[in-house]
Amino acid sequence: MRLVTMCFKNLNHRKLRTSLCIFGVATAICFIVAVGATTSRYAAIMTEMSMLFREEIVVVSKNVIVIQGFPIGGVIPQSVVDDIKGMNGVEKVVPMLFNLEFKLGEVSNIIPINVTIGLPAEELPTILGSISLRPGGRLPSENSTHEAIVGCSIADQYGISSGSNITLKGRELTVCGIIEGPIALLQRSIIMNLELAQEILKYPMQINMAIVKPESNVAHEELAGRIEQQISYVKALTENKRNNLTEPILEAIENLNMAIQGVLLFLSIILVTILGMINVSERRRDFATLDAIGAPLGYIFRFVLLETSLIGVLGGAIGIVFGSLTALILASFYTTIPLAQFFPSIFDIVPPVYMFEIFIAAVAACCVGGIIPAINATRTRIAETLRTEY
Amino acid sequence: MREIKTVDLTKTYKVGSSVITAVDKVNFEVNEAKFITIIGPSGSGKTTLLNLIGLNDHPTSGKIFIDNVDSSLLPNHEHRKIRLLRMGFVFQTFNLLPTLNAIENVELPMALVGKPQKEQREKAVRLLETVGLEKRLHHRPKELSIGEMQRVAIARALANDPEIIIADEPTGELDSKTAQEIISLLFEVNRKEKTAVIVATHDEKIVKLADTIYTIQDGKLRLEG
Repeated sequence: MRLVTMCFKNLNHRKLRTSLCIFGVATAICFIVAVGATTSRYAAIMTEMSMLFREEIVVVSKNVIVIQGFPIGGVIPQSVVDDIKGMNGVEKVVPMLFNLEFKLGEVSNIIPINVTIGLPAEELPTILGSISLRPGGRLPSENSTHEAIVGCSIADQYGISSGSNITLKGRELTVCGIIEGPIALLQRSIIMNLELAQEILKYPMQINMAIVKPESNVAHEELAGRIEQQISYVKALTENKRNNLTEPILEAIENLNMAIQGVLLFLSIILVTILGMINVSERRRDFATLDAIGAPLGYIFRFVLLETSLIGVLGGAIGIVFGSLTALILASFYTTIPLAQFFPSIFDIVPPVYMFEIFIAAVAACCVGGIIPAINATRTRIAETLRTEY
Repeated sequence: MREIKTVDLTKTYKVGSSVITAVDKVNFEVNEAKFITIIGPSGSGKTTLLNLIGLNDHPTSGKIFIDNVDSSLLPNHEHRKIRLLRMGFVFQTFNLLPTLNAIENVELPMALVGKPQKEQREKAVRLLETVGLEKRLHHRPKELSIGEMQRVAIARALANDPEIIIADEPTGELDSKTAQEIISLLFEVNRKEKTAVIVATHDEKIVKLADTIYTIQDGKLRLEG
């Protein structure tokens, strides 16, 4: 008979207690997975955003909040592009309008995380180099006043394909391409010519970011300094500066995750230790019997540890399943993207490696929780415990 | 195991400020497959003596020699090995593991030795058939009568072909008919398997069958015949 069979039988013998403990561990793991996956997803999106505008300087309004180079609101006159172009060491300047609070007219439930980007059509491939379009699609033609490309996530959500018409703020647009690719920001973007975006968003001759490509021999920090010096109402963010702005946020997210994980795993350890102690003290006679018939101490130790580890295996597995579902529900809730649309990408939201790590952490925590009860079990004194005659 | 011998074996307990001597300078020897009974009233030291002989407890003073080796010189894991491979235990309250069925309880000592699973199963079935429980193989202790539980305990004690069976009041919890059956079973084991059996008991029927009878009173052991 295998030790693991005995452990299962023992756990099964105390169904209610075992179930409650598994439920406790599963709840902790569910919370860890849901919070961890959600925050990690947002951190990943921020990290993905750093893949854009590499080796370029992003110029935005001075007092605006910036996430990885993308401003939240704040406008600057389009004429700033010419001012920057006139500076030494500037190879190219591309004006952009980036808006987080745009609604698709016909599709009323779109929330701010959908992004509208306006920029000169001819600059699209150079600025958003990682864009790829679904077969049959193309970029908006130059000076087009009715064409846009749409991110695949929006397209899938609303059944949009190349050639479909969409209405934005009363303006009818033709979708000429569907953006594919790994960057979540672009998957939720509607990209069009700058003039068209300015017209729809009602920002005539205004932009909120300018992408500056320095000449190859120019120090980025020095050029950024000159831009800020000459144009007092802007800030110029080099790649390093942008990363420096984001890193503390990512670090804070990671620390928060670690703290939540630590606290919940610690609580799981305590829960399992208490259960283990109750089980051991209730079965002292069984352990004394095992000892009396010659079971090695290591066998008794493993016996208890395996029992608590099995709780970790079951609690961990259940917690991961429910945690992953919760993460999907949270993602759907915060983005208003239908839940079904997230199912195919479940392993992007909760990566298998993360699942595996959490599973191992759950089993390890329960194993650690079993150490004190296991030591206790090995300290059972046969003669005293089995004595029936005093 | 050819021989167990105790020399001035003593066990004392401290209860508050007083010291109770449970086993007092006992000299005892088993060197053949005999059926030995130790009789004495409650609290006379029978269980303590069996625990010492079975290496389940450490003496306060005196020695236990197993095949002329001083057991106090052996590490604890050797004691366990001796208990596992060379001794079988039958307790008054059976001490079967409640979550395991009859077969699994009997398999347990063999599993601890690491015998192949198939071998464990075959032997457990055979032993349970020997003790008349062929129809109760998959019943858990709570589904068995107390007599059946004691039979399972005897089958478990025999699992690793021990050289000695130590039984502490094996009929203490049983009615007279069942007790008679258990006594016959232990006697049969002694005769057929050539296994030494040491039984601590009050039971007159067991005493009558014994090859050697000891009495114990206030921890002092005396050979009666």
